[in-house]
Amino acid sequence: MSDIVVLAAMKARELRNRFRQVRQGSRFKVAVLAAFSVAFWASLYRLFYFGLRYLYMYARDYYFEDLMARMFDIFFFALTLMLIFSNAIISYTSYFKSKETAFLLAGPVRPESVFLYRFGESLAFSSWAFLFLATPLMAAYGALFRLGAAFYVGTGLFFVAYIFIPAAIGAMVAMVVTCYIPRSRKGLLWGFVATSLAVVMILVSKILSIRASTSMELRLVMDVFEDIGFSSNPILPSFWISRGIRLLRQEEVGGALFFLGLIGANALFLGGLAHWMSSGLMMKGWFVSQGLRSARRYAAGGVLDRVLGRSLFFMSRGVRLMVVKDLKSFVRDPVQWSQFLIFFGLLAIYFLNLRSFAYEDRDIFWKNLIAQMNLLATSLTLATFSSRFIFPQLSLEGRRFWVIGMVPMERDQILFGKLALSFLSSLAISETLIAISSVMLRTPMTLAVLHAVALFGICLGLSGLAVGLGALYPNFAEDNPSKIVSGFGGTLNLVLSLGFVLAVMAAQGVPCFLYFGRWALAPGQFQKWIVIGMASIAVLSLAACLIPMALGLRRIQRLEV
Amino acid sequence: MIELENVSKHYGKKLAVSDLSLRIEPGEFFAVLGPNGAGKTTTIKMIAGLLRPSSGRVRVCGFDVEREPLKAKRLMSYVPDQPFLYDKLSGLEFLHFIADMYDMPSAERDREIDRLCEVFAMKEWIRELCESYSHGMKQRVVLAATLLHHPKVIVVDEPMVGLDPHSARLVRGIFQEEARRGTSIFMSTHVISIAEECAGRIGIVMQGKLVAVGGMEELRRQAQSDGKLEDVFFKITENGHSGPT
Repeated sequence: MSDIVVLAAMKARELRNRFRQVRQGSRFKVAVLAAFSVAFWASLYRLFYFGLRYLYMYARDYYFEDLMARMFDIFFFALTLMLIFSNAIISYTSYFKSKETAFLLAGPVRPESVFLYRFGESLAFSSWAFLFLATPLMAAYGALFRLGAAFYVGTGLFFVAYIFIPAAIGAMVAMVVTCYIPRSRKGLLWGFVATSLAVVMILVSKILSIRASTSMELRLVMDVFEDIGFSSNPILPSFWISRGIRLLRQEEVGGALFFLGLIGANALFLGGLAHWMSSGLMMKGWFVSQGLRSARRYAAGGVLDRVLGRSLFFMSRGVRLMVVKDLKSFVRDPVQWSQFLIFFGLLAIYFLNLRSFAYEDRDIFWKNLIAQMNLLATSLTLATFSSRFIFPQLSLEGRRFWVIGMVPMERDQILFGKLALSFLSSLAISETLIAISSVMLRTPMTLAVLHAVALFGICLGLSGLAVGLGALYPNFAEDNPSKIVSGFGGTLNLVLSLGFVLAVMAAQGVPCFLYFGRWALAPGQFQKWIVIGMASIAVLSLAACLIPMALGLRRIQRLEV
Repeated sequence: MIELENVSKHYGKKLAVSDLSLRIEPGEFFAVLGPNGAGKTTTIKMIAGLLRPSSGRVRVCGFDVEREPLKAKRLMSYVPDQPFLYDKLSGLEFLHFIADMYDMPSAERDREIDRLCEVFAMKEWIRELCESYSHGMKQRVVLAATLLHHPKVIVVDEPMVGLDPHSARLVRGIFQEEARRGTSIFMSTHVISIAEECAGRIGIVMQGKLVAVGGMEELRRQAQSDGKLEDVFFKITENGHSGPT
């Protein structure tokens, strides 16, 4: 039997066992996860549907086809970049850092078979998000134009063929970077981070180089599209899928089949190329990555310890020690903070360049709208990051729990330490971002203060949710944070966090839209609404923080590891 | 048979293994001892083909591990210090997977699995998922997988960690039996008594160098000590003895 067949058969058995376990497990958990997934997909569908319908009604007679073409080009271009990046990262860890790869390479398995096997895993792992984002858009697009089953089947074929392209590119990037770029762990990571940052920066700078005129919204849109017209370059695979799907809608089957064939041929070519490269680079990359060793030495009581020790004077000793330990671990793990830096860095660049769009010269309705969107973007990014980084923190203590479980310190100090770290760090970053947004937009002081207060509540609530639920649903068997996050507790935390953010946004957004919008509340009424809004935010934030924390504290007191 | 010819390994500027030359004959049980960080695991990983020597050559049963890795690996079994098992496979499924990787005919596979389940007393729980096993149960499955395809060379890194006395004795007996059948065994261990009891030859590694090698008598001579292996080991490592390689 060929080695790749043996590996595939083993994977199939493993998946069957997982499926059986899910079936035998708690139906409630499965039902909750399924309900969340369906609700999330349905919300995205509604959002896309309303957006497309609005555009259709607004620009049906003039620009709709042009607008859709550009939007699809940009959408698929951005998704492709995201997929290449995530495939490269996942491929690097699964080809060169995993225990399973070491186990397989020590056996009589060809390196290119190990590559194929791991490629399939990376493809599945990184592409589900693409399908989760792209399918509601396509469903909304199909529903808007009342398209038949042929459109959905055709779109499905496009997607299945397409995901191989970024996966193959990502795999090749991972192998080439590992084999030929800096020979140190940090150098490798910096290579990945710098390359992806450079690509993103170029895109952002393209958009931000536009100086808008205040009176010509449509002109602005067209300027933006013109400036990022590179996404409509016919040489790009993202253009092929975008064009192919639009041709499907227009029932131009021949044209659609041409693009499907083009994607299929390129997927095969790139897949073949990656496989061919793996015969030489898989083992080479493995040897390079195994030969890396960090030479940096860290003394106890260094500058970071002293600075943190002094600046966190207001915390109890136990909490302070936990905060310093977690911060040091975070700072020394570039995989963690590089993701953090990319997303918050992009938000900062965008906020700092808000004046490129001349929003500060617009009327208060637009300023309020943009400020609200910025607050939402910051809060949703925070929600994602608290779910990704804070929630798994206690689970990650699992194998080290004997250390902190044995020290003469109350266990609740562990949770308070994590809460303090999460709250203070997210508060510092997000308040800075929103302050930049307010200054760049020249928003009225009332709005700026309202947003700062709302963000305070959001940071508190998100931190409480992530830390509390992290203690309530720990997973001590797993040391991979992304696997901890993808369990029931992680999903619940993400969904509750998103719901909490939307609730706080509504509590402060309603009075703002009523006052700064085109419905113009009287100042007296506005004050009344603001009091109601602030009280709601306080209740929501305290509930989001205190309830999960109380449950988490009770759980950690009884914890047996 | 294992041959290491002037093998060195650098991690950046750090020299982990220095100019190591060694030959393990068929049927020989060779144990390597040394303090933490001496280069034992690096040496073992180079034999297993998971690390490439910076210089020198490693051969297993006559096949260069770097140039003909698949031929070498087909004749060899490697047990790392932290063995890997698929959590979502049962022990039986894992053994089937290993047998398939080594192209064992199904009748022989089933017969051998039955025999090994008997030897390692795994029958009761071998159909359960590996995630439910204790450390000792996992070690037994890994050792069964190691022996399943009748390797000519077994390379083992710290096999006794976490085993109860009964299992440790069982493993010792099985390795000795394998050596009697003609299998070359290269074992790294911290447990001096096991090396003393099982190994025909013992190598002592310090700071990447093989500072002493030979049977018990030879090591005693090199260390100028009449004591047990423990005394010999401490004398050699404390003196930073620089013996033959």
